[in-house]
Amino acid sequence: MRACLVGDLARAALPLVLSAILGGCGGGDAGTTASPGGPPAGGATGGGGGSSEAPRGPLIAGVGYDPRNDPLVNPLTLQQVHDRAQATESEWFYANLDGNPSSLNPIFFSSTYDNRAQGMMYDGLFTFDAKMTWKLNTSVVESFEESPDHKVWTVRMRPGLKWHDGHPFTAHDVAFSFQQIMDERVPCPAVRDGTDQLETVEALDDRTVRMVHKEPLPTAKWNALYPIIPKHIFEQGKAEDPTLKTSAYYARVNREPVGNGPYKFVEWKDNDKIVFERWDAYHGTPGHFKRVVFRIIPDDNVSLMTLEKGEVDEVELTSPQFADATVKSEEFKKRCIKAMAPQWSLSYFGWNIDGSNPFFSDPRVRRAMTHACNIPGMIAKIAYNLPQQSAGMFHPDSWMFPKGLKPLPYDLALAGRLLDEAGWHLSDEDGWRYKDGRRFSFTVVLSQGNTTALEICAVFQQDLKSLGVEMQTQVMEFATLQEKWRKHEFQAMMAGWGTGTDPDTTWNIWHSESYTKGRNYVGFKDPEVDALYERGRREFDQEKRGAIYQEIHRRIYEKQPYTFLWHRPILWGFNRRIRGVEFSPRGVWGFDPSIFAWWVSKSEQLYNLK
Amino acid sequence: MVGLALLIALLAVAFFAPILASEQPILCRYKGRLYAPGLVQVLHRIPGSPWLVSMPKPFRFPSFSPRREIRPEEGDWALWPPVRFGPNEVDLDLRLRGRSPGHWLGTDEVGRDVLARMIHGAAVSMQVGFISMGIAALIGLAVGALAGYAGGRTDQIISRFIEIVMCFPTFFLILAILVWLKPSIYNVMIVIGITSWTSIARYTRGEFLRLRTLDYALAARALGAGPARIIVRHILPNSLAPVLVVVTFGIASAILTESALSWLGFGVMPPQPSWGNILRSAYDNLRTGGHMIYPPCIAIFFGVLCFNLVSDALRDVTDPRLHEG
Repeated sequence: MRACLVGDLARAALPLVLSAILGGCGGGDAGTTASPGGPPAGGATGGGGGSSEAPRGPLIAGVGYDPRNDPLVNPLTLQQVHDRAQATESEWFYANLDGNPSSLNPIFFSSTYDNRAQGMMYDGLFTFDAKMTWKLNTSVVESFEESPDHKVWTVRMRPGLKWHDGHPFTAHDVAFSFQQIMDERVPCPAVRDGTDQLETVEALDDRTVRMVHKEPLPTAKWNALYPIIPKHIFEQGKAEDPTLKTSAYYARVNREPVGNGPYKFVEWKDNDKIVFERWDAYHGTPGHFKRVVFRIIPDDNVSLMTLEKGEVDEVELTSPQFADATVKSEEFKKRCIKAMAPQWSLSYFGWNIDGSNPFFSDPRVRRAMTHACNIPGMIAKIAYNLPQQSAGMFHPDSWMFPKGLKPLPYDLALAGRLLDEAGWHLSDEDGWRYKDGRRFSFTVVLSQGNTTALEICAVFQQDLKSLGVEMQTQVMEFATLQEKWRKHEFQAMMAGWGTGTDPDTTWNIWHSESYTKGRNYVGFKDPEVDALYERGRREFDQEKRGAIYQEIHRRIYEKQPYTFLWHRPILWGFNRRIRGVEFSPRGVWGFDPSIFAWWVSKSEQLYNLK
Repeated sequence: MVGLALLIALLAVAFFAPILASEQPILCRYKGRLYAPGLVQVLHRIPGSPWLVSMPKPFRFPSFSPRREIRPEEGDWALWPPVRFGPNEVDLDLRLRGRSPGHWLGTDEVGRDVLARMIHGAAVSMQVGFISMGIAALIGLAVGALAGYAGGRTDQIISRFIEIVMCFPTFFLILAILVWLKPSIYNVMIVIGITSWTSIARYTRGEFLRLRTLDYALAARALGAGPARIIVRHILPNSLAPVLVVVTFGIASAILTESALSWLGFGVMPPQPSWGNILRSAYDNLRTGGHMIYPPCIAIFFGVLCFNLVSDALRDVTDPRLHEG
């Protein structure tokens, strides 16, 4: 059993993946039967299938691309489970990071690439798998007990656990890490958020940890996934520098960390590479690569080129790269393959319904907007048939999705009728729609550098214009844009959400209290949805919980505070020799086992360095 | 001469964009009546005219498509512009196509005609160039005249202030200001205007320092003319020639600045075309939309070149020192 450090990402309530979702990447076309994140073998239809099905037609690059006709997508070898007889254990792996991490100390995690690098080196008590199911990390935990009221957890750790430097890894490290995260002087807000829902974490003896939750909730288990740092290293120097970050001593230990996970740190050259080596004394199942090198390449064009040359082994791809550049490139065909799987992300237009503009308070207008948006056309012609059309907040593959709910159809005539009903009438004078003397002309705010979003807007603009509605676009730098969202100073927005591990994280988006202190930018307020969220948070029965979130989903879709566009798939490029890849609803990284299950067969080994 | 000819051609393209590239005909007969929607759109470019002349119905309706509605068999006819596409006409079936008989410069990432966008983009570039430099010239002339005429302490303070403003990296200042302002073409013009007046002010000041000691200025003062009259009537007209040269160079650099801003996504808001944002979409689709790279590059190059040629020529004509040499 391997574990990786994923706690922070697990809890982070729907990280914004805006430019990633809209900027270049499309959505998920992976049918509806593929199990979430599971290998879409046998019975998976749609984009998950790739080579496992007979092609449906000729392979076309660019517009007209269909992943089902692409032999490079999801070949059988990619998901082949580790085979001891065939595998080499001495291969090196070159991973790609799109930015230089800010720190290798997991309590200072602030971005997905921090998390990816930190995850190589740290092991915790709990983890979760590709299906986002929370579980015990059995290589560390011997036994686990929960009090009948779900409030008190007693975790017994295995004997003989060690840090990379040979120092024992004990319950005291677990308690110490909790105290540091909760220490206001340590600047780790991202990790503290959630961990602060634990009341106490104590070491009863060297191997026993007692955790007490503030509130016994089904979601409380995610709060215990905080990262664990070595007490014997961070205890020293705490007196001079309570931040654990600024002093020369901490700057050094945060750059050259001592972990307890499957790989240990070797070197970090800023903006160039980070090198990890397999730790042979690891207490769990080791990874299959002798060394893992993260190459730091911020530009997607360059990272694709390095993948084509064989200098990195995995790269996240944009939609145009997936559907066009890689199809035309001979080098790519020779050396690489592509992976595609459903992802629980969402792209949308958000309508500001808090009453600050005269347009979108009326649900009929919002429905009209959705009917006027040619989403199927955009998927086929802008997003290269990669995304799956959305019918609401949750992904159709998830347990929160009410089965059978269909997206609203593209129907301009119906949109026109709805606008008429809402009192927006076409003027005989100039052909635009007016109500009480005000012309229907609104502005969508979007993030700079977001090409796909602009393409979507250009198409939407033309359809709206034919209805007598003017839509303008305003591109802003991302920090300014977020400020506008938070202050609700916009009429319409276009953005995307990633997914948290639990639907409770969407409280932050739809509960009416989140209007002032969350991400309910559009001002959605519905007492019944609020009540359902409160119930969902307290329900321990998985089936009943599912029903609650399905009801929330249905009610929100009914009101159309967003025009839900699509779910973009995971799009990844791999070197041909990589096998054993599993997909989670968020990508190929950041769950257990992820990279620790990837492997290479002996005949395909490239690096034989000692 | 070449510069001037190019410049006039460019201005003409910018001004007549609606009858060069549009989905509306220049002149047409529709259901027995005669319309000239293209010409009205050209007229609309003259400030103040939209209040006097409005588009005839049904051509002003956003949902009216003359191309679909005008039926030759019913006796209708239309005189179409040479490029029969508007700059914002999306056609998703023709994304990123190369040059073809219908689309002479190909189409962009949502199937809009690149040539139509280039033509309408020229109008944007010219507007930005002229209006922003107009603003810069107003500020520069006023500040420079004040410093040069008053001299002494005032001159010192103003000159130091000009030097301070010059030290700001203009492009980043513009980027910073645009974070506060709503991004639009007018704000881009204003911001470029208020950040690029310094060299105009310095030239004006230099001219004023020289001219105010000349005999005719002294004569005017002896006749009892006030400072305002001397500045406006006597010195300013004589100091304009070198300023004009700076302004023309300034237009060239304003066009470049606008292209750079639009390229970064902060300038002209899409879908309005500008050379900069056409170049941006070409860059974003580098591997598949290569045909879009050349038109904006060539246009920016020649646009800037012709303004530089014209200002060179202006300097040759107006600078006496060059004649002596």
